[in-house]
Amino acid sequence: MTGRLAIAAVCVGWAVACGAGDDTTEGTRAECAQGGALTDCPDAQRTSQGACWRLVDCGAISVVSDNTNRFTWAHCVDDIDRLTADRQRLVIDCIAASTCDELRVEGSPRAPDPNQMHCLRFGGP
Amino acid sequence: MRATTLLGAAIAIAVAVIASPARAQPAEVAGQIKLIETQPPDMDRATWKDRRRDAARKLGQSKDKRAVGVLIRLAETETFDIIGEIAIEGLGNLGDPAAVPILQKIIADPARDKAQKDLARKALAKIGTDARPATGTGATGTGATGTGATGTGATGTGATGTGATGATGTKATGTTGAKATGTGGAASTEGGTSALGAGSLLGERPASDVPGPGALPAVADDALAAYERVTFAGGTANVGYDTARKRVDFDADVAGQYQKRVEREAFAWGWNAAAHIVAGYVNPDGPALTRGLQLDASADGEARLYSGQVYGIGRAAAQAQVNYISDVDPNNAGNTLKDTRSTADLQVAIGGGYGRVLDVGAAIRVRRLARTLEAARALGKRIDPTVARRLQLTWWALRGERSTYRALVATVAILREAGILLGEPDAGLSYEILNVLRDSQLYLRPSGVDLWLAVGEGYLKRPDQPTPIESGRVEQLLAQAAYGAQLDDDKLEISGGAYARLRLLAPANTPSPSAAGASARFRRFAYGEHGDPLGAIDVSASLQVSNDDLMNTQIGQRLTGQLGFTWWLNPASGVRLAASLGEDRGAVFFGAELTATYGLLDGTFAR
Repeated sequence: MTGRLAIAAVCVGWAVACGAGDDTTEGTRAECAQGGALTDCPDAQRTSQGACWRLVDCGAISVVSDNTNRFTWAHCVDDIDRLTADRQRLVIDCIAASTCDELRVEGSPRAPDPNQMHCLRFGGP
Repeated sequence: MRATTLLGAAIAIAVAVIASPARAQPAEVAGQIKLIETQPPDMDRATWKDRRRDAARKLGQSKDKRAVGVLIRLAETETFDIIGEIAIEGLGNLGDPAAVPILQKIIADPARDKAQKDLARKALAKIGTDARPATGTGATGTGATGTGATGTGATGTGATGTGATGATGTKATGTTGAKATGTGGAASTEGGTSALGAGSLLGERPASDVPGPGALPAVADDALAAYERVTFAGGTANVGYDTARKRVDFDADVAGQYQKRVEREAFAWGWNAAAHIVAGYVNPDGPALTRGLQLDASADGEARLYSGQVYGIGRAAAQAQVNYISDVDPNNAGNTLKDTRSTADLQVAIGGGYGRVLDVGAAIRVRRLARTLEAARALGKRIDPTVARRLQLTWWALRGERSTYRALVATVAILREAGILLGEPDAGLSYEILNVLRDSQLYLRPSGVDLWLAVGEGYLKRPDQPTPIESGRVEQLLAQAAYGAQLDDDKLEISGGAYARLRLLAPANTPSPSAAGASARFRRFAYGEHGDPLGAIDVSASLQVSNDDLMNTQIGQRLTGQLGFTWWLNPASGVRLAASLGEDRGAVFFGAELTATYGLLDGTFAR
């Protein structure tokens, strides 16, 4: 495993360990969160907020958490907004085109590791 | 005895007067002629045009020879207003042979439409002469009486069709000529080379402006609704390079979708197929490099068998997605991430339901067309289902046209042929018809009620990492409801929907997630005096609940509402207000946007 992934794994482990009992709002799943191709969702808005809501809809991230280390909706929006325009487009387009099963990672939705989210990897290092 | 006789005579005269059609009195004839020729200074143009038509109608019934001249002028020059047709009809009623040349000229004129020619033929029949123009051998004197016209003129008659009997030139009577024209017109329509389309307002038009039956989409006679949609979105492809940063970047988001659905009385089916590609390449200066590709392909279909409003439903869906990402760490080229993931779904569902929701946007367009014609007093009779079907299929056939020109020409021609549109539309009415044809507010307008419940079975292939919530065989209960109504002359829409989903028969220690939701939307559309879309108010609300059924999971509840208001003040000025409010388990999100644009409309002149 690469060094970066190792760090990510430690972070995820820490987050899960420290996550129990903290004040986190997971958010509500959309129709397409589970169920495969028989259930469908409308296209996500091609904005940073729209893309991050899709992650909440899919159960990939939480809405808010009192643990500031968590990758929540607010972190998601801030991270995408900080990207250069080309990377921003790629991340947003990728999230909008992904199925919910592709967006969830280990620890979702309470303590997801953003480095494992393939669409966020378009955002670069 | 004498008193009885006088009384009887008076009654007979009174009965005769009452029974006779209203005719302009001699004193009135001069006034009617003056009204037709000159707009009174105290009368607006629209009122004058109405009064002129009434005056022309009365002159046509007056039996007064003074009316012949003015009616001839109207028949010859008024090709844009129905007053021209009133005049043609009136000339037939007056029965004056002086009208024969102009009536024959109208019949032979390819720029005149079929309705005008038919009226001219009827008028000539009333006068008792031939429909053929007095050209050719010995025509001058005898042509007017219908005895010596040659076959040359019959070619003019044949212009409306292909197989005019009168083309033999063997003393075809006016009646025979008219019949031959009708037959020829019908024959040509069946042959897919419709003769519709000739008309003066829009110029000489080729017959191909109106798609023949062979060019129309094949839709079953008992079809309640049908659609075919092709959507291609490839507008977000970008590529860039600059020497300042020595950076290359490329990204593309390309998607295509095909949808088809047919709703018949006893059977409905539809299918969709879609593909989506997201690709990116970002190569800044240095070792860093990000490459990625995401491919998604999906298809689904649905069939329903109806018995009255109740139906059995079968659904099937398949989807495959592949993701590839490569990310080179700029600080450590050995720390490169490369990941490829793929998922695949194959699922079916069966169940039952009630009702159906149709997209009635095209039907609303027909209704708007009828209302537009009625407001312009150009609606001769209601648009029956046969004509409505032909109009909609014609628009469907012409959907690929960049311009609305052919749709306008075809619409006018179809309405004229069916006797629905009275007279050739003037510039104002043509503009209003064009607005109806271009109305983008008629996209996806639902109508009806639909409820269904189904049990699904399928196989989901998922990567092992991260641990998927659902993988392998998955059974589920699915329910959906939809409602749509178009009210207040189709300017008000109320629609809603609901869904529910529950995983069934989950293996031990495997969650059974569930989700349900309902939404409602209200839309009010506004139009200007001449059918210009002015804007819309859009209010919607939705409620969602979900349960992941995981340890320490929360039951989610989200309530959202949106308000949108767009108002175009003029072509360069408008106001857009949009606001949204969301609440998800105590977290509140509010957003509002107000955009007001005021444009100074330029007036320019150049010599």
